[in-house]
Amino acid sequence: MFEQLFLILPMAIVVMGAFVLLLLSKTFSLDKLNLVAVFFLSLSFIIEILRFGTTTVCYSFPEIFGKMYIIDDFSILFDLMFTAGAILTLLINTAYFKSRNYYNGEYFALILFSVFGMMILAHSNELVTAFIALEIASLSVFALVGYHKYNKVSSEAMMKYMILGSMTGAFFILGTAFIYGAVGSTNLEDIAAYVNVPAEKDLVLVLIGGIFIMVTILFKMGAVPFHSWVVDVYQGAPFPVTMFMASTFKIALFAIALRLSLIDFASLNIVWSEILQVITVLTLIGGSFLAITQKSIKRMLAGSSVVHSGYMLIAYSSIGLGSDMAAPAIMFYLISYFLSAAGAFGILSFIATGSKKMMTYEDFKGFSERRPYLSAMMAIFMLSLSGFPSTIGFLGKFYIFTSAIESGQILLAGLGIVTAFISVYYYFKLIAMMYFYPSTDQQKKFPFDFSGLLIGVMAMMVIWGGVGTSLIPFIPGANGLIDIAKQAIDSLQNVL
Amino acid sequence: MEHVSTTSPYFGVFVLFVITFGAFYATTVAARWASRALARKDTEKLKLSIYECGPEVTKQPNRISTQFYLFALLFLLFDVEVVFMFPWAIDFKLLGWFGFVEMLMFILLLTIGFIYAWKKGALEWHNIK
Repeated sequence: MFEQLFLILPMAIVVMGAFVLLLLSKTFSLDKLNLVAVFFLSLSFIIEILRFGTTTVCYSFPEIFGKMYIIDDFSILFDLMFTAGAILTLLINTAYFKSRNYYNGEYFALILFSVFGMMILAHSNELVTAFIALEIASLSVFALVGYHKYNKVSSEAMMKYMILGSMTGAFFILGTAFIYGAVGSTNLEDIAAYVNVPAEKDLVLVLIGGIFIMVTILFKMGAVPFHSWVVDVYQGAPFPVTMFMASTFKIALFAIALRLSLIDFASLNIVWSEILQVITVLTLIGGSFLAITQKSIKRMLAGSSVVHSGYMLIAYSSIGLGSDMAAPAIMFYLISYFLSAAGAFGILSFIATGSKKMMTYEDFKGFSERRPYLSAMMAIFMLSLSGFPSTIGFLGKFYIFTSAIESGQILLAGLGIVTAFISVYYYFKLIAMMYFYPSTDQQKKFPFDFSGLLIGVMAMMVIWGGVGTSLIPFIPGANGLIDIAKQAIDSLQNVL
Repeated sequence: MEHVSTTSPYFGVFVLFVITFGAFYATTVAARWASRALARKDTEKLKLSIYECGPEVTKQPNRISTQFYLFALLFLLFDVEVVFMFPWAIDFKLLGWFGFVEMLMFILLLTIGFIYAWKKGALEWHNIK
């Protein structure tokens, strides 16, 4: 009984924290609420980090929940990323809402509810549970996007995201219904047993259902036929929320996508890989166009996040074509993108705390004269996002393209490399603006800030992940990270 | 006529796709042109008003406050609670203590939501500024 309870403890801590924050939202000040939220999240984080690699695959309350809630290294690694993402979002943006007049106490509770939803999504072993978890996570994010409710841009972004998101959410449940119609169960193991055993079965319904589920996942990722919301929503949301969405929410979708394609529909992947290839090509090219044309840095990063989904989709489509490297490559790329994007958005949000300007390229002219350390960190994150060697982004792209070539998709890998070269334009433009132009603003003294230090640590991690080895325990470098990713993927495949 | 066979079986569909796009564009332009050319251009009051099946549009005499929306939402909270409590009550002896604790936790979670709504002032009748 208590062992079973211990299994769901990290998730329970997060949801309890959310309720506590909800009740305290009226009475406590912003700083105290932030501390309480970080306390609950780090408690959950510590339990998960102690558990990683030591637990065998098991279910929590198997006779009551009916094997809906699975615990393996794969889901624990995702939990670690979600909680780390939320902690970083909260710690970097401590000062952001102090300078804004629309602050409400519910911000912290909503972040924790969203993390809770994502955690169930990573742990869910059943399609309806996955749908509910996805909706818990998305509903909180909808509310967070429209957090500045008297702002037209913010409200428009929320409306757009909510209507489109709810509609595509319905596709997930439709797909589940199709699969239930064919298999007679929504449990992933039953579906896998039905699909993977070659017999004269009618798989048409399963195929259609799987495509519907994929529509939802691709929409939330921002892949190209479903990308129309990305730029506007990222721009309309407050900076901390954009950071949370870009770094944390995006990862959550890959949790369910990987679980589905590695266990559930493993033998059907070959059918979908053609669809995925077309979507990948569109995502890479369309995302590049989206990012090139933007003047605002926030919108550029939003456009480039579409391109990064495209890179991950390259590896995702190679899973079906028999590449062992593909799934760990996606995990590694998720970690690398998480670090770089969270850092870049963190710096933007850190700067936006002081001023209320739109962040355009022009605003960064001569930034290195004013704030040399911050601009160095920004340059590191930009190098990592564009895939420059000696950063973690390069290794992420390297593994992705290796997996594509391994599975014979040479053209797709080539397109990915071309897109990476194109991305150099819009990332290096910012570096050029920071370093090659004289400063227009004369202010030079800035007080020391904890958020800046944290961003600096993240920049170190980006470099360490690119060049380091696991010489220092507990801080895995490049080869340590890929081992962790492989371990997580192996735990998934042990289920069958 | 003989079927044209290409290496890609979906090439025909793609051609159809392109043609459909062209046809769609042409139809849109034609419809726009036709409606511009044929439309009456005077500004009669009844023509400009919202279509209401013939009768003239009047202002609604009574205004319904948005507060009812909040009450409906809170009603849903307790409604769903009771929906889950009935099946539990029927199988109370079968489920035993475990079921009892589960139900207590469920009620506790809903109560937290209720306390939050109460603290927020959702139960008071006031005008929203």
